[in-house]
Amino acid sequence: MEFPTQQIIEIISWSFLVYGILAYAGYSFSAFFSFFEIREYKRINNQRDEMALLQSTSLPPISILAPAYNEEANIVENVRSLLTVNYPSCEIVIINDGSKDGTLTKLIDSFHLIKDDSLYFDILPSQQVRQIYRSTFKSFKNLTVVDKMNGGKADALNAGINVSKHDIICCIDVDCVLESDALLKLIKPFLNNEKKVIASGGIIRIANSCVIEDGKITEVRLPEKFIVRAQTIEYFRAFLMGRMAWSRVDGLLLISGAFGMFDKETVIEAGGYNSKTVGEDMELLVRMRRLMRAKKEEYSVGFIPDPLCWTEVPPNWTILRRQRNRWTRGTMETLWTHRSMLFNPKYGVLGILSTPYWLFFEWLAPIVEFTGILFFIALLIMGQINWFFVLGFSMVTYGFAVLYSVTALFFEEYSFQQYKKTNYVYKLVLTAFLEPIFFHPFILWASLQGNIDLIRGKKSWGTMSRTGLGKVGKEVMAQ
Amino acid sequence: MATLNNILEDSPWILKVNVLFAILFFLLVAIIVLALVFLRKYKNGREQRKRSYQDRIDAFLNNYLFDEQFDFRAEVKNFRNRHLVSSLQKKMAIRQILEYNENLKGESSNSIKRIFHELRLDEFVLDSLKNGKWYEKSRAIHVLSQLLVRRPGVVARYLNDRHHSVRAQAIYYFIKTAEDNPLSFFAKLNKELTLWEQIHIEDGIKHIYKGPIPDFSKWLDHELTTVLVFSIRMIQQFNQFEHIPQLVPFLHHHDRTVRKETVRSLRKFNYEGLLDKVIPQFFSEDQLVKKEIVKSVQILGDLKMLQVLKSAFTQQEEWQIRLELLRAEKSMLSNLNPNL
Repeated sequence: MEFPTQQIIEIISWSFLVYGILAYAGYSFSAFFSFFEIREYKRINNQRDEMALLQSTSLPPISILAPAYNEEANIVENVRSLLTVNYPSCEIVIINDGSKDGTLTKLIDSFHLIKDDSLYFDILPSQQVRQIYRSTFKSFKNLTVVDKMNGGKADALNAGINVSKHDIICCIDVDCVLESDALLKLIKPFLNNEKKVIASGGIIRIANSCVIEDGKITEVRLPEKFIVRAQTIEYFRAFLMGRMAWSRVDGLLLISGAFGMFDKETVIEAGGYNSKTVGEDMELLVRMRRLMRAKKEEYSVGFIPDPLCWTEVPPNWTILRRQRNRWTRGTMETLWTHRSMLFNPKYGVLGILSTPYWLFFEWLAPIVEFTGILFFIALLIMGQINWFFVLGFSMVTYGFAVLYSVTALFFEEYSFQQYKKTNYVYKLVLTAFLEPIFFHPFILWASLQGNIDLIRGKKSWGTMSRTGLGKVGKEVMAQ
Repeated sequence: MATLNNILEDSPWILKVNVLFAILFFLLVAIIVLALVFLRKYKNGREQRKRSYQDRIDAFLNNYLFDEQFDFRAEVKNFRNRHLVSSLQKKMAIRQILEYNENLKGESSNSIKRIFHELRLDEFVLDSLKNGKWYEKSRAIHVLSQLLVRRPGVVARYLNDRHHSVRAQAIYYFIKTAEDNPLSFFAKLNKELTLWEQIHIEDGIKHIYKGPIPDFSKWLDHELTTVLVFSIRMIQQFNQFEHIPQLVPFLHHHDRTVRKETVRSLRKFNYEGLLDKVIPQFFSEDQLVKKEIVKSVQILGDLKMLQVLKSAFTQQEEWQIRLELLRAEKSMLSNLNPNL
């Protein structure tokens, strides 16, 4: 009996095609839903200026939790920036996660910290807290510093939750730059909803190259480096098209760890952050949603399309590779932990749409892509390549990738238009054309490495050094 | 080209579909990039037009307000006929008037409100309210409230609108435009208030409403729980001590948020009988209310009472209450002995 090579090639080719069609359909639907979500948000929020409410004493107090690890270089500037946040009542809890450098000393010296013996309860597991500090200065009275043994970001956040005093917590990266009304906008879903809101998140914007003065973005500039510009487009796609669409169908599985607000009671009931995963932000939200489903309690997750938080993204390939490696591991760890949700109609949109989407089009996509490359090489060796097919498929794939990116750019232009200079638009369009060729293959490689590391059992975050936004701003200003 | 056609004609359908989609995608890319550039140019152009309208409106308003030679009838007619033709022009004029209205006080503020009517922009706004989409209605109500256009009968029908944003604006309208009795609209409400709306109402009563402070006890028999909770809170916030006897029965209300608010308000009133009423029901209470009771003991009670609660407290799951009790005890001890 002859080996059915041709049939096998056909079956594999068709499988790739079907996968591609499903992926395109998914992306198209997400673009469609996002458009309506953004339009509705713009209509609602085009009407009144709510900044006056920031004077109100009736807004619920918030605990802002910011873990810091080896942040000696920028910690003082970052905390000063957080202290200027515009909200009537909030405490800022900095969690020094066992830094090996002088992070704690700098904090103690700069903010005149003394030991604090306030009572708290270790309801969530975390590494041992060595000491809690508060400032002797009235101007820093809402600052609390927790010094603990190193345990990772999730562990640090758990310690912060234990120490925090208020019922709404806002978990952020310590070096984030917040818009002046960021907290007001993020808390609004909690207060303006008939259902219980368990979490809300906002769009994260890229601060590299932006001009920052006194902890505020004063001028939005398009990053000069291609690697950062490509990430700018990625963020547009992820936030303006991906998360907006999931928010519209109530299928959001991820609120970025860089800036998210949570109902503390639900977080604690769900067990807090999972320190055994590197994707703790996604894992927590999924667990909270499962909890609410199990309790049969009506709930909602808010998402604000306004640019509320600016962060520095990896400015070089090494750090970017580590970040994407970690994201891949985090995604898979979460999906594996909550695998019972997959295709489970009991979880509604989450079970039928969200988790399968994350499995097939977020985690599996690089693997399918890599398998496609291997298949192509095999066909090449076997002399089975039809170059017209190759050209046809490549053009369709490339065409769709560019189309999806320029659509995201269009949404940005339609909605917030953060990049004011007209030549930025041309540069971004050019980046959209180059990104699938020069950037995407690298992301593919980093994701594959993430999968390999996951199989090997790697659990670490990898070093994520940052330039420091204050410095970027200063460099830019000096130009 | 002919060779390509020949190849395509001889190719399987799947290749033809691929080529077709590739062409379609590139065509869409071209269209979207053009649309993107057009949108940028359009927005830039619109911004310029807006600036030019704005300058014209500013000049008109400044002349109107401050030029003594201003020929009111002729200038208004001329401006209306020449510069308030398109919808954008009218919207821009309203925006500028709102801005002036926010920044001016006294006679100038009244003049600004007058010009709004004289330019017949009120007709434009009322037309939006009547025939517009939900966001236009919402915007229209906002404008009416800012410029104190009193049409309560017209706006009242939007208090229970299907769209939340319209509903909220209608509520704020009544607060902002009321000369007295700013909460009269409660009688017409049949949808619960969100916390956001409650904050807005409270803020409006404190900072915008100028009339006599309303008697909040009037709403203690309202069928909506959120109105009831709001009224209890406001009775305390505005120190309406005389209504304390009316609040006390709510310590036994079936809704935990009502009980919580009542305990909190009575505590802030330093109501003497509070602890006698709430301590007996402490152990059967909801966590939400328990927290308030502990705070009340801390402020109105003594260490002995607190220790009674503490000693009987063994439930592991109520860690928050235990923590509250310990914090209260620590605070009371340090008050007794500041050296501790």
